[in-house]
Amino acid sequence: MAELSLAAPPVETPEGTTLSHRELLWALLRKPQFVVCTLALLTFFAMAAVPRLFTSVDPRACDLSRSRETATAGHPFGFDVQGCDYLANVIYGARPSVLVSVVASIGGFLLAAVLGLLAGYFPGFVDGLISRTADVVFALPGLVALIVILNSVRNRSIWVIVGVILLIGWPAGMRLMRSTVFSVRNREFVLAARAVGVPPLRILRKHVFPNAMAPLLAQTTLGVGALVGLEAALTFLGVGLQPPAISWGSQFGIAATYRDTPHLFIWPALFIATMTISFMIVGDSIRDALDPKLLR
Amino acid sequence: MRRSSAALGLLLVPALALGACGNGKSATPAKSKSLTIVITAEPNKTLNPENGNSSADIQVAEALYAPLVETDPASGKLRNVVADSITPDATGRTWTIKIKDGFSFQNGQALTARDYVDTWNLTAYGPNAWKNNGFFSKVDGYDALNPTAPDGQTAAAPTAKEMTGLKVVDDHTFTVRLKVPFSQFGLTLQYLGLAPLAEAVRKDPKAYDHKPIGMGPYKLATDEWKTGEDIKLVKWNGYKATAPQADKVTFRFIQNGDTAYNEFLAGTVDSVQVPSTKKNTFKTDAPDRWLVSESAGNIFYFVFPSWDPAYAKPELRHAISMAIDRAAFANLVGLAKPASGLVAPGIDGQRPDACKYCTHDAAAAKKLFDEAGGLSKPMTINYNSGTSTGQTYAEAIGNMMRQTLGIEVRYVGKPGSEITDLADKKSLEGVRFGGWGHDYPSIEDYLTPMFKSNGDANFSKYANPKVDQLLAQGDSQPNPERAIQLYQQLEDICLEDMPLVPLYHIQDAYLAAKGVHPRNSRYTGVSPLWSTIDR
Repeated sequence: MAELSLAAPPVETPEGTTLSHRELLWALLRKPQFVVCTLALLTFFAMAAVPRLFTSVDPRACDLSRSRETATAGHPFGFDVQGCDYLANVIYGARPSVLVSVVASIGGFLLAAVLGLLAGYFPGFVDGLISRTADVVFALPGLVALIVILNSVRNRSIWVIVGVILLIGWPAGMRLMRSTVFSVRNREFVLAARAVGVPPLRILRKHVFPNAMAPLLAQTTLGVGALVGLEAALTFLGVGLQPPAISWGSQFGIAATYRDTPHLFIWPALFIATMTISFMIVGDSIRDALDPKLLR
Repeated sequence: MRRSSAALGLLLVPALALGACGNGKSATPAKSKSLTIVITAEPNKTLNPENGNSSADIQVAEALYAPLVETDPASGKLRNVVADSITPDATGRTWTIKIKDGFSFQNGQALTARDYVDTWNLTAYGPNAWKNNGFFSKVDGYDALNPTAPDGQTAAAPTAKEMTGLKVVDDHTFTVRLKVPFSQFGLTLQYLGLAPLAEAVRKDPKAYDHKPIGMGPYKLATDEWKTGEDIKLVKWNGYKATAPQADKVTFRFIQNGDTAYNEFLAGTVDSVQVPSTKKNTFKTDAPDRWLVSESAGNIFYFVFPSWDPAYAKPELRHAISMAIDRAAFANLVGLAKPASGLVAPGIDGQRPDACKYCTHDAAAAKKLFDEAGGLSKPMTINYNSGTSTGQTYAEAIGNMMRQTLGIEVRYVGKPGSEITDLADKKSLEGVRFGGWGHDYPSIEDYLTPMFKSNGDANFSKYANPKVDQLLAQGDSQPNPERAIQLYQQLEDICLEDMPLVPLYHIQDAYLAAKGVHPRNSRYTGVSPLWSTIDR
């Protein structure tokens, strides 16, 4: 399983595909929207990793008497409800969004890929077990299940939220992976490998996975943006991160009760929207590049 | 999407236009002094004042009935309405109530002491299950009318139908003997849920649930009122005391505060209370047509856990209190006044400077905090996760603690009921928020529930024998001024001990149509019924 994760980086050269590593990258870089959105994402990643690069103000230095004041010199985004500098808070708020979306995406990709490979390659008991479990999880209404589970957790950290998202979210990806594995497992190179006695795990790793991962990869990159929104939604609903964690979702939630102060709403909304759209466009570009039908 | 909303718009336009015309006609019949008051609540179930205790019930009862006494909106002192005099005996246990001559019910029956005594007995009679039954639990003989049974068993039938504590002396005099002395009993008699029922009503109360026989300034304009409809009232000429100005009063029930607010902006009603969702926008939505109550009711505070040794030192609690910028906090709450004591302003005996440790002084707070040895662990602030403001208020307090005292703060959001349960079991970690509002306007009704060792709002489980003793002394002091002095001494002790930190009092905001000026008193708050009308 640990070895499988080596295949995670998106532009690995898969055997049997028509695109080489270099060609894929070049195809992507030719699209200006991909370049712009990648730069935007890198900025958000930097914001999450080293927020100090973007602001020197302490987001937790607050003066309640300046509550909800609008922009002034030195405070371009104004102040939040607690009288803290809003620019600093919006920048520090990037971390949970980036962490949740990226970690849940990678984790979700791995989980769905492994289970999908197993279910698709070993029909019968293994497939039955995994697929029926997936059916059960599918039957739960997603957001409701998230709210119920998260409500029962006392101290919710980012990792708890990621874990619960993974728990609820894996079946969709698993099914996709399983169906592509079905189409790959009877291809000639897989049959040949099986005929010469290559052990199943090695076949899965070397031959099946690289040729079956493209749809899941595209779906995952498209889904990153939705995860940013999901984290914000959960925090907005009061089952996500708890104070004193700073996050766009909680800023959003507070802004909703102060509708007469639009700047509280506009800034996190703008950041969430930009990041979500960037992830979606990058995901879209990768899918287009990997799709042989759209290639030439 | 676009198409469907356009179609909806077409349908709505004529509907709105029609609605506006219809309501415009009925709401303002040519310059007469009529008032349409919105009650933002579920409609009353009954107009029997003895069987209603919601604010809607009381608001309607205020128009149909008259109280024995009332708080003078100009001076804040108690004054007589139906009562001629209310006098305690030397111990404050037996009260003699004389009523004025000349009052009568709207069916012509003269009002006598018998009407009060019989009505009160009827209300106190357990099997009737009337909402204001609990009021009489202080009266001698109440228990015989309300037998209790252990959980799971049905209570036995009451052994009596009349309380031994109520006695008719003559047509205009009756006495009330209480179980224990209670100097504030006179004040509690302004409650409109104590209004008397006419003899005809007492014989068959259910038959009159929707066609009350009142004894107050207004009577029902129609024969009968159906739950859910507007309550339409007209002035009753037989009322002998001062009546409000309006000739006709309509109470309209709109449960959703935002809907009621929009009705006002559309001009179909004359007065509405501003819902909390609009408290930041009402001044611009209805310029010149709003008012904010001069009174500030209730007291909101945060409570220390008396069971946690980390908060045991009073100096530590003083320091925490001094670290709070109450003016900024009240501003955050909106429509609030910073607290400077334990009693809401406007209550007789409230002192604006009662609290020595309620002034914001960051440097002194930090010094005192360090001298007291600081806090050995992070301060946990519990907030109700069911409200939209809980987290915001908790963070505001937390930021002040963190920045002024240099301590770490943890925030824990829980459903309100869970916080209460944990605190009742003395296992809640850290501080929590709380609030209390009086049932009757007395300094005693703040101090007893908040600080008596088994008080209803004693969330910190504070227990001080001195406090309980002073409360008993105040309760049995027949001289009102002396009683207030005793209660003030008690307030000082509680502020010095500081089991809770007072934060703010809330104000109400109302919208009122042009030419309608609701009474706004710093003692009794805003009253749309008592509007001055000059249109």
